[in-house]
Amino acid sequence: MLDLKNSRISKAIFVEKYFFPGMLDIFKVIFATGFIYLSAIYFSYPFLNSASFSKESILGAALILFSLWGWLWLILCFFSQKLKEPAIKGSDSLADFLDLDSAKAIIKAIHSKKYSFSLSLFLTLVEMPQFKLAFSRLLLSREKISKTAQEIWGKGEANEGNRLEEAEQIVMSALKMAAAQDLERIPASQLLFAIMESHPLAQKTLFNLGVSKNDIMETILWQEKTLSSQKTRKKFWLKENLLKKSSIGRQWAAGHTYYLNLYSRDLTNFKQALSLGILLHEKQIKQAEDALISSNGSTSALLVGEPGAGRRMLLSNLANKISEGRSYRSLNFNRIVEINMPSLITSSQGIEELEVILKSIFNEAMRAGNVILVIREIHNYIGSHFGARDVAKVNISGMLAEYVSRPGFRLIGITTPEGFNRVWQQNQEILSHFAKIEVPPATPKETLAILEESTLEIERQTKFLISFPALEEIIELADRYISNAPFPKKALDVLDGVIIYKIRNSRRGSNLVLKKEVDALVSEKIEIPVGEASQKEKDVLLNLEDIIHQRLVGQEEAVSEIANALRRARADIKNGKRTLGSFLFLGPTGVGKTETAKCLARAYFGSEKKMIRLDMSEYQEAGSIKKLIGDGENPGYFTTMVREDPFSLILLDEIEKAHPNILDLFLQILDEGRSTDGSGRIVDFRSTIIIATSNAGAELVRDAVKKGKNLSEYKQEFIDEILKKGLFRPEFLNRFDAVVLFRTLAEEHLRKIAQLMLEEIKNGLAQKEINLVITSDLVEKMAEIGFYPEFGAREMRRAIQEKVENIIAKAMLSGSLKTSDTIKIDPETFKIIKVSKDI
Amino acid sequence: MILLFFEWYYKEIPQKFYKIWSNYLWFWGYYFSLGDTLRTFFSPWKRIYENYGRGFDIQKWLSAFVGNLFSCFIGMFLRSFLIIALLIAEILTIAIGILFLAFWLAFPLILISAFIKGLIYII
Repeated sequence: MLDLKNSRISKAIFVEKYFFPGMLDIFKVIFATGFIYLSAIYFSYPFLNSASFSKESILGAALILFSLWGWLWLILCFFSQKLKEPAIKGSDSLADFLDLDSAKAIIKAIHSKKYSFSLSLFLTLVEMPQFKLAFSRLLLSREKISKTAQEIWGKGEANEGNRLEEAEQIVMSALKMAAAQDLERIPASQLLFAIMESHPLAQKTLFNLGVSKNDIMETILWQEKTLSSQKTRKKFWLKENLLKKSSIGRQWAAGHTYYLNLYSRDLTNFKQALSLGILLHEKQIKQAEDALISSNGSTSALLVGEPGAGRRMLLSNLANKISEGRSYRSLNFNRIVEINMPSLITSSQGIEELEVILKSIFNEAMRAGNVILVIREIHNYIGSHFGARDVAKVNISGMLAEYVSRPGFRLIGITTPEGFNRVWQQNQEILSHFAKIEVPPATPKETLAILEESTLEIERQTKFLISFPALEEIIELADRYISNAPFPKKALDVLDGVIIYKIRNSRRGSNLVLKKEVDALVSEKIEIPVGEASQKEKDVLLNLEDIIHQRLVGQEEAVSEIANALRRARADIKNGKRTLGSFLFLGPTGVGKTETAKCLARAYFGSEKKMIRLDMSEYQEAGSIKKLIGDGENPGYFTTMVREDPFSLILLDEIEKAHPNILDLFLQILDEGRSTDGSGRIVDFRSTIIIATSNAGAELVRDAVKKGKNLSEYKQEFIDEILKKGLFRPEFLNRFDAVVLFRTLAEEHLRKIAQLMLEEIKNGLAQKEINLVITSDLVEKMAEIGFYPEFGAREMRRAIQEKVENIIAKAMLSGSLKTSDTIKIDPETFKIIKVSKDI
Repeated sequence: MILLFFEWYYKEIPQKFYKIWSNYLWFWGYYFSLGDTLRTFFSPWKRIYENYGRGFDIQKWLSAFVGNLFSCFIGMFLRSFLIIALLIAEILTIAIGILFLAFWLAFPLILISAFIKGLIYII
């Protein structure tokens, strides 16, 4: 039963209602000021000439003011420390769990004459000042929320009994939610979450406002977490804050480390770990601690993770844990010291000197007894490869082998998965002394928490307000479009980029960082439009058929099928976990399959250069898969290209010639939108369009066209036929978004192709101010010469080069062709004829 | 409510204060690393010591012995400063704590007497 009248918080409500603590606070200040003023007069009394009051009465008034100030101060402390936060222990009344704000909101809603209980509570909570910033971040004004809620709820009245019952239900579910978050009391935020969770009209309001319940919860909790961590930090007397100061005696008890200090950085002194207490890589930190106190002879660990996956953050969190005495007894208050290898290498003259210094560093660290060494990118200094893409020709593996097995030598090596495969696995003996700890990239959720943390610092420096949808968009776009770095780095990079973009463009704008600015930046960075489609992009997508047909003749069915598939992809109707589009182009040689791919690359990715072309006849052996995806030693050609530019059109020419194992690789790519390269790194294909071409069964298409069959209707028959012949496996064909048939070209198509190609030459000449007149006779002749039934239009380009381009080039070099000439070509002799300009 | 006030004033606040006070008493021990300082009181300064080497060479042995003795002596000398500083900090903390507690307990009486005294002065 929700008995608010007899609840422990009712006393605070009573005080607030009748004694106005805000007002008392003002009086307290007045009394204090009066006391100080009168004291000053009292002490300077002998120097004042015209005193209208006696010295005693001034002292008396000062004492009375002091007394009044003191009592007010005590009463206000009592109110905020005791009455506002009464003890909960032993209470079984639901109302006792409410904090002051929540209790006031519930009372107000119960007694509201104007609105139903739920609406009144919702409005009261939304209006609370503590949520103002969170709603601003979500780009919601409280007026707008209130207005929408009122429209949706209407002005329903409810009787008193119902109101109490409703209140009880909401408080009960808020209590459960608060308990799930280890909260002792129910703050107003939990009431708001409870009403959003349980009330259909609240949910509808949020829907109409275009915001999700989870976004509101995340934003409010983020803000509450920040406030509570600030509050804790201010309480300097707490043990956890006192521990942040490093102790002097401990350093005196440890050994002197001359060389180590010279070539290192003490991570323990960099208190840069996250103050919101983000629990990132907790498991890995624990593994590292276990490794460092291991009793099996070696106390070293190897952190294996991509640069940017949070390896530095992990170390910094570990350093904090150790420096604040929250780790194992034998690790607490030790120093984590990173050896600055590059500086050591550059400053030592020769390998001998380097070895001597490094040995001294290792010895000092052991003798000091409180040092945990760190070597970053340790694979660069190990093994006969010299790690080393030329980082340094230094091999410390011998020395490491000597030290890692010694008791008291503690080292954390940091390496990448690639470095691990390339170097460490070939040095099994040293590796056996290290505990391998894999550092996976942060999850999107963890990355959001890290972004929130960075956001506060950025906002403090720039005075911008970063909206929550912008942060979510950063995560979403970084996840989808950036694959050259892991989370959290790629998201942090985008955040930095957005701030710079904002600073660059903020002369006129507001100080609010919006989702569209993230879209604009990412689009600029990857040269692909992202976010809501811009008008230009919409035009491209809507007119894709026409754009392709500017360069491609015929193949209407094929082009329309491709355009539809891409429109579906861009409108996000498709499952975002696969490629943007995947097509199998089937048909005879020279009918425009490759040209279509080029047109698509230009239309969709902005340039033909965005095409990665693989001739699959080069991959007929099972072993040739290494060329594509690489192995531990060498990176693969294909995976490197995709990794460097994930927004590409991948053209797999003559796919039927590839080895079945290679087809299996593409099966996985088509299915999951990702694959793993030879060194175990994930390669993302979700931003690629994959087109495989094949002229398998070309003769069937040719026959069908001859017989005048409709290609769309013939397609299924054709597919059945090629499956029957075993040219492709059914599971392979099924993976493509569309299997597209290209028809053989008819004469009229060839004429158009000749026309197009000649126009390309005309445009080129126009830049040199030479006008080429294309006559219909020339077009006719070229169509005739360039056509070979078995090669389609493939010979056309060669013929035009030979008959037209070559003679024009010769004429230009010999000087017989000059600027502002107008020429045409004789279709019989292929000689240049100069004509007057008015032709 | 008045009972609650007294409970808060004379029980809860002194309890909180005691907690902070003991935090500080503990903190000085941590700050000056009492445990490590005592454990290594007779150890060489910064663990700097000379090896006696193999075999027995009286001259070398003596040189190492004197050097190490000197290192231990410096260690002891400096560490005793640390212990003295710790003692001073602890004594000051205890003294300030007692003064504050006494003041806190007497504060309501001080306020009441200030009020009465003030009235007397004015009248």
